[in-house]
Amino acid sequence: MEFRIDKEVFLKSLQKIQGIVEKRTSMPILSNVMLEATDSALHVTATDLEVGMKSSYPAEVATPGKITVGAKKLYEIVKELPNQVIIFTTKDNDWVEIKCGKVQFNIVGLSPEEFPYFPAVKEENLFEIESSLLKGMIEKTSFAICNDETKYNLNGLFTKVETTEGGDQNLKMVATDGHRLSIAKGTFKGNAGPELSKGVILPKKGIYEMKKITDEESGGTLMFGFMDNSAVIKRGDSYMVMRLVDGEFPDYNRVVPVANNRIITINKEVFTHSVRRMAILSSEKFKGIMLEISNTGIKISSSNPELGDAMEEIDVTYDGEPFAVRFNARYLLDVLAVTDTDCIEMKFKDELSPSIIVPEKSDSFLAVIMPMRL
Amino acid sequence: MSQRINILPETITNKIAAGEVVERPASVIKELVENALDADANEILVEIVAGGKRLIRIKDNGHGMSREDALLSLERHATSKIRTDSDLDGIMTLGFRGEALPSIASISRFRLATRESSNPEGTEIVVEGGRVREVKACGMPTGTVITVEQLFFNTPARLKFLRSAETEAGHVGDTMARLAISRPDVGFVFINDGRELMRVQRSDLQRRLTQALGKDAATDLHCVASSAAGISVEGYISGPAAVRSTTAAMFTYINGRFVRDRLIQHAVMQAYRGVIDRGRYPIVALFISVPAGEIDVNVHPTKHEVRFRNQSQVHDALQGALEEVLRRSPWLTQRPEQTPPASGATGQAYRERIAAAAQASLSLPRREPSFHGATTTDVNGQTAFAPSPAKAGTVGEPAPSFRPDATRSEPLGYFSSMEIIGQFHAEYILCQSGKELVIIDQHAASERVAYQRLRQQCESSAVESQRLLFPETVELSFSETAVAKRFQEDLAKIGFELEPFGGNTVILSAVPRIAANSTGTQLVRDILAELATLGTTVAFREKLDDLLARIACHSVVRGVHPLDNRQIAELLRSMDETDFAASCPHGRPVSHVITLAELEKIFKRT
Repeated sequence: MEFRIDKEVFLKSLQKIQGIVEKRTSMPILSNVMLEATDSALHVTATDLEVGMKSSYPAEVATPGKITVGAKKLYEIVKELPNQVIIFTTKDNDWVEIKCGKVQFNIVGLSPEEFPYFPAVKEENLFEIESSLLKGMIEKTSFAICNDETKYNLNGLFTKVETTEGGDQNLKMVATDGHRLSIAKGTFKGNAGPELSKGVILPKKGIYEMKKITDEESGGTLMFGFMDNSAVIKRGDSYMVMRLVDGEFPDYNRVVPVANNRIITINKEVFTHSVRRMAILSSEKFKGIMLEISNTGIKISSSNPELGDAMEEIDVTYDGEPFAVRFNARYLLDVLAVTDTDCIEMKFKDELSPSIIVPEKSDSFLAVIMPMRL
Repeated sequence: MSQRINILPETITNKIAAGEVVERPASVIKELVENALDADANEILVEIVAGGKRLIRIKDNGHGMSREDALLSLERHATSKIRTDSDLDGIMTLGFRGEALPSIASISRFRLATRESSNPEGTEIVVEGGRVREVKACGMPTGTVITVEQLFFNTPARLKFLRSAETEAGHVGDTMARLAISRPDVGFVFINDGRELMRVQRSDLQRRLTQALGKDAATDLHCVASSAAGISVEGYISGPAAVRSTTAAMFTYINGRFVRDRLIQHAVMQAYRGVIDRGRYPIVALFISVPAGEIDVNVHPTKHEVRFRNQSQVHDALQGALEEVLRRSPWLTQRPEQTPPASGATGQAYRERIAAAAQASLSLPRREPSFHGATTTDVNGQTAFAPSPAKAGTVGEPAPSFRPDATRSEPLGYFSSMEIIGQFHAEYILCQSGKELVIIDQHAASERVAYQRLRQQCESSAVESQRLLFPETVELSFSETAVAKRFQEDLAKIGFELEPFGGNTVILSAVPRIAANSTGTQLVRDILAELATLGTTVAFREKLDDLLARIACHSVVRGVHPLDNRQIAELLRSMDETDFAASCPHGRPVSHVITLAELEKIFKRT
């Protein structure tokens, strides 16, 4: 195999797959990137068996062929090469020669035969989806994804299309770690297909990679679809395939309380700053902050036996029974950070039941947080 | 109608009982020496040949038996130690089942000679495989001599399972060490194949430990003495320097009886957590006394296990007693060099030295025994005894000679009384304490100080628990379910909310905040398992401690960090106020001492 490629193009292609290759893996080939040269294009493929990405770039191909090379080292090398055309040649025994101007590298690769199979994507199964919608919904939910590997069914985003009575279709994304829950909703156009109607769990790593793709370009659309237990995302000449989490997502509708009738509305900025201030004294591992809600407003307080205590009052209108509730400050801040309205509504039942936070006058987002008990 | 069920003849029942009690020669020694101790003997001689396989002879100077008693003693369930049913609840003797003698007699060629002091002649009984062959009068001193020859001669299966003579002799030696430590007021002699492996005189516990464990180990022993709620704990425990890799040097006795009990061992190891590394075991000799009605020793014929009526009370009392000593880190201040040599030795010590000298001159040069027993052959060993128990546990005891203000009312602690020399490599603090150079790992020291402070704060505040959105169902076993029900309130106190969900399923609806990010169900299982066996739980505490240790480790000076003298002085002062100051929370030592003598050796000045 031999091809010539522009340095910047090659660098960008390698940069894109750095997040996918495994740094620590029991299969050495998974830390490699596969380079495949066909008639006039270079295909760059990386996978960790859970998430895979394949992109095509223009290149001047002298002899077609394929090879795998350590993804991280190749990226480091290309990054430091002079800004000229790179000549990439394979030698016997999977050796690779990289020439750029007067620079020459000889590095050892691995046989492409052992590289995991990357499924061929059938374009007709894909449907269009707005990039910005996807981006917003991932932002609003991904913070609540569980990081405990043993709860594998929570290690992802539950994604589903629900049809309302009026015939409108809503795309829903749900994440939870067992302590809090986050639901984002958006309008869905097109044909949902059996997978989305039933609901699928997209893996955490795939979600983060998908977010990177949506970050790159504002506006525009993505192609989205499913095949063989995987979700496929296509944008331009890049494909990403992520294996769906094989598990049952818990029945989240059951834990979203419906009878929370103690409602307060509060300015998001004011509340965020207050919680941040109070969280200074609450120690992340042991202590939460306390909200005491009465007719005169909210009193937010925290205490730390080592440092002292802090208190702040915020005026809100509330005319129900006074009560107090404790939260992990981190959980509140995570929700506040992704809310995009000026005010939020908090709905409580009592000090032990799940509490709801929603943006004011919007049903695009809903968060449920379990309080703490002393 | 045929009869299928027979009542077994006594020779067979005795053999069956022997299977439970007598496993190997060491078990014979244990049973017979315990009998001797129960007979108020204060000199006991044990002799074995070929690891006890060929011959075991036990000679004591106890009160002996009359001819009638001697014959009766060979009957099964014949004992002088209990009489009525109620005696079983208050057993103060080592034996009581009346099984040992007939059992041993049934599987060996057995010879019992005994004389009461009131009787001018003794009785000798010869038994072979459980049958009395001969009963005759004999002349002998007061006491009892039991000779067991050809153990297991009529039970070939057992005989096959015996190990080599050396191994069996080793087991006998271990048994003798346990017995010797249990009764320092009794003299023991142990002879193996004509070689005297142990000769210990009547003395106190500390001296006995020195003889049994070797003097290196014995210099690092610290006195424990506490008593609470009817449970008293006495004995000696070692500092972190003298640790072993097995539990072999953990001698625990309950009401004078050697036991190997999980509860006791757990309590000891809990007390030592953070003081010694994981996987290391301290040397302890602990005598735990509990009211006889509070324990049941009638669990197993060999009586290695006991049952407590109130497990958690014993566990906590023991752990508390040990922690009380360990928190002061007495090994810092107590060193052999600082103790006056035993020049003004008592008559006892004098006699001992004479005996030892005589021994040394009489006996041939001998191989060092496998267990550390024969200090009597070491004439110099006398001078290096550890300090007397009265002095053992006191902090800051021997006043450092350089201390400027002798009239100071409040004595300085070990660390703050040291003279600061400076810092080495900005990582270690060098100090002088009398004739010693003390090197302190500043990271480990400040880590321990911070950890202890965090722990105090944590103990003072309540545990916050995070409620779960999706309560987890936990499938338990029958016993775990019962435990969960019984300890529901205790679990709630440490932040777990468990509710029964029918059958053996419980619902976990809240977990303590510190465990919120890990698998709560696993921790619940661990805690329940501990509650079931020990009646108390430390799994949660352990988790908390691990976390605190990590926080402490990251919150203090790490690596190279220059400190000026005032900072060093402050650190040393806070170390004196800190419990368990001698090791960091992970069990690594905080300080290392180089004595003047060691330095002089390096520079070849001696």
